[in-house]
Amino acid sequence: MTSPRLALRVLCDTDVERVHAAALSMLGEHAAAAERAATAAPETVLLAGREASRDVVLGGDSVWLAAGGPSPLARPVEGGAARRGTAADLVSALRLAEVLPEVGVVTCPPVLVDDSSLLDDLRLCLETTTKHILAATLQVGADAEVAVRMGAAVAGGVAALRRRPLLSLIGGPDSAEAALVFARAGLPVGFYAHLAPQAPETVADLARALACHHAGVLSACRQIQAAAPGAPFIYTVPPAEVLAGDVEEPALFALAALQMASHVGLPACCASLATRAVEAGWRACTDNALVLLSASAAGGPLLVGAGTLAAGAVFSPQALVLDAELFSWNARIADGITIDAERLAVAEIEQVGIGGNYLGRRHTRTHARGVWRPRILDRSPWDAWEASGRAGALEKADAVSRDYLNSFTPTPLGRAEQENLSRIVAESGL
Amino acid sequence: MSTIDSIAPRLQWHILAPEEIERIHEASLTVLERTGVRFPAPRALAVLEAGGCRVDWASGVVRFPRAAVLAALAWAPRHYVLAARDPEQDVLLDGRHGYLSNDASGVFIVDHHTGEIRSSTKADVAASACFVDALPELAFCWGPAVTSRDAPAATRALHDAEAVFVNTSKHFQTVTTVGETAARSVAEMAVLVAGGREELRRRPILSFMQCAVDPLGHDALNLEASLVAAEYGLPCGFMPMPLAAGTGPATLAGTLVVQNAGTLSGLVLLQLAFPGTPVFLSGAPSVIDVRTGAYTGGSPEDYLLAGAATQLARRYEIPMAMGTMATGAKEPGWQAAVDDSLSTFTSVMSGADMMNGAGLLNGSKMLSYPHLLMETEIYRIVKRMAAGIDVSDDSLALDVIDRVGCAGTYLAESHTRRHARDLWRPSFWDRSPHELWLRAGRPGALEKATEAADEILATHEPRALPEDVRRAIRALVAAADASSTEMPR
Repeated sequence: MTSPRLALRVLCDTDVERVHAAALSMLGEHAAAAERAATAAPETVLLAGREASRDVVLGGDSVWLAAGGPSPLARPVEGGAARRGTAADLVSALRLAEVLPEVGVVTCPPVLVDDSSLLDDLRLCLETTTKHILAATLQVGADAEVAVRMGAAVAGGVAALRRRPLLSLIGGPDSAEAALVFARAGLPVGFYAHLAPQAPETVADLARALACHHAGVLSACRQIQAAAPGAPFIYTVPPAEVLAGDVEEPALFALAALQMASHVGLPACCASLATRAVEAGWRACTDNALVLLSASAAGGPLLVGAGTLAAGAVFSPQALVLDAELFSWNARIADGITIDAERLAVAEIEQVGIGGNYLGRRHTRTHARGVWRPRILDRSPWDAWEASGRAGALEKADAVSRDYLNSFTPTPLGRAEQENLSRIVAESGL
Repeated sequence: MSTIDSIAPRLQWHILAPEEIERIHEASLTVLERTGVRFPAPRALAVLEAGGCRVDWASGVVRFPRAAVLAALAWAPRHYVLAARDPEQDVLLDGRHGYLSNDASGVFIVDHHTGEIRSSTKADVAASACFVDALPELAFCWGPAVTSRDAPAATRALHDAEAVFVNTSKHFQTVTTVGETAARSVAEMAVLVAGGREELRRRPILSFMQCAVDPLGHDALNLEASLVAAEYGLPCGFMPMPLAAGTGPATLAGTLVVQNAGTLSGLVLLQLAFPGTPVFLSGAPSVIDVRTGAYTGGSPEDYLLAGAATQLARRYEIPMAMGTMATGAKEPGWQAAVDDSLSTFTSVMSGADMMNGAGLLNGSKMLSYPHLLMETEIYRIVKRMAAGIDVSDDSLALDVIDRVGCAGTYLAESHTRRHARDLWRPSFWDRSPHELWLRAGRPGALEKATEAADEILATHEPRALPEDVRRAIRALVAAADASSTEMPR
């Protein structure tokens, strides 16, 4: 989690108003109801963890990271090429997401497994992680009904689940049916309606895509509030290319969309960690570093997609560790610089004087603890780096993910909850 | 011939609030007045004393009355041109445009085919200047990128300058020229290239950057060179590089004060010596690795410091040269990408005028041409981001949306054709589908950049210097070499 003190705006107030007005004009007779719905939806949304210490609150100043896609392919923890996702890959992804402190929310499932049902995946998620679970594959109402029952089984009942929603749903236009089920159960949802052609191959203007998407979100919010007044609704920002084709700079779209979310007072979820790079290297890093920095600076969203490559097609434990490092890096940047008399340190500067050294000073000992420290970044001297076999960030990330998984100790679900989950899945016949 | 690819950012990022900038400014004035800065050069001390500063001749420490600092800031020009031999490549420092340069003073070259690391030579200075000349993203040649380690130490700066002047028609900002004699020689080379001393003053094709000695000090030879620069009317600035928790307080605010006081003190000297001479502020503040005591070569705090220091320069309306990119990574990969992306984003959005710079690895020690090209790609990405989103009737395109409707495609629309031309296109990013990429042998950005680097090195021809100028420069360097045993630096 990071609480940004910095602010970056890509649209001026007038531009925001123009985009909003354009969206309302697309909504036609539903415009007023859509605006009312956005006002009626809560400004903050609790995404509860199985343990309260894992709770995430969207809509404040904090930025949160969500791990996973879902991805049909997975890069094995032990390395090598991406393959069809296996049960082992799914478990590794869930465990790594559970143990990395930068990850606030887990996407369900981070890895799609052949011959595994969505509800089996959800059961595994509920059993493995104590963090909030973001259902990203649910579309059918019947599946969503079972998912709600499963969530209630872990939360301690339907009312408890409503109070502390362990599950939420984020999706595109195909998720509307499942979203309505979740919303009626008091679970946070976010999706957008199709008001414009979905043409990923189409190059489109960013302003046009932004207005179309904003209208789609407002339309979805109207549907949810009509079905479940006051239901928590999340302004969902998909990867820019989903809406606008092969767009110029995805970070720019994400920034602008987050401003639109803020304009209508809705908490936001941004699936912008969606690099098209197929390896966790230079390009993936450039993509994600800029997206994370700009989104963090814009303030407040849940950033989805950590650990994914190839536009979400591949989940990579290595990439998740690297994205977590990027998030940590950006968290420090977003925290800004505190200016007060103690930190300006004029007296300290005078005492150390010209040509002096601050290393052994009490002021330094007090404040050096706050200096950011890397998990992956290499700061060794050249000779030491060569002696280590020129280990790069990718090798380190592999080692970190293996270490974390080896030392992982799960916080198990109670036996009764586990049995309930199994029974619900079996009874569903889905 | 390339034209300069500057950034005029529409987006702005403010790391400090206006009242926080004022607090840093006030604290800097207090430190300048109370603690002072060391100037170990008699000529500089004389200038500062005559200008009303309190000089302790024994220690070389100068304390600055705030009025002297404010007056110097008022005299310094807000806008000026870093002229190029080719006027089309002039760099206009107007507070609205940001320019990238190469990084400077590397001492090694990475052979991008074998991975071998070797000492840089004068031939490398020439090749790197020619490489800079070829790239529109690099507005001027800083440094040079690597130094002529095969040249005599006493005249190395002259060899560096000769290789740069011959191989690029872009502006040259020297970093390696220190000492009065060397500075005069390099300035005289610029006189030869410009066609006369007055012409050089009118169109300064050369500027000087001098490193400071942190905390709160300067080097004698650097001070001498800076005064020569100002005497010739050449832009000059001082670059402190305080390390928080080492040569600066562990708090970022305190390190900003040390950084700001250091660069302002150099500005005051030059304005007192030659009022109205073009100057710039500069800095490359960083933090120490508290576990090892070493330079970090990239950290989140670096970018905060860079952005905040640039905001201070904006407050003074004086051009700012900010250390940018200059990754501590040892190879062009993931770590370099983080450093380069975030530092460029911060410098651009904060409004840095000069961003120094691209091409070096391992904490500005090793030049890698493919790495340099990959950094120019990041610069272009950030440039596109800094342009923001145009929101107008035409870009909102409500009529087009209405016409295409709910199931159509925008591909064939004239609106799309018109606007698609503006879209950013990568040079080294791969956008092919996964399967195609696998079939192509998994090419990465580094492979593409390596190919492009080879092409530039093999084919680019800089605009030639007139033969008589070349000969005159060569003679000047040869004469300096011949007398180098007696030549004080």
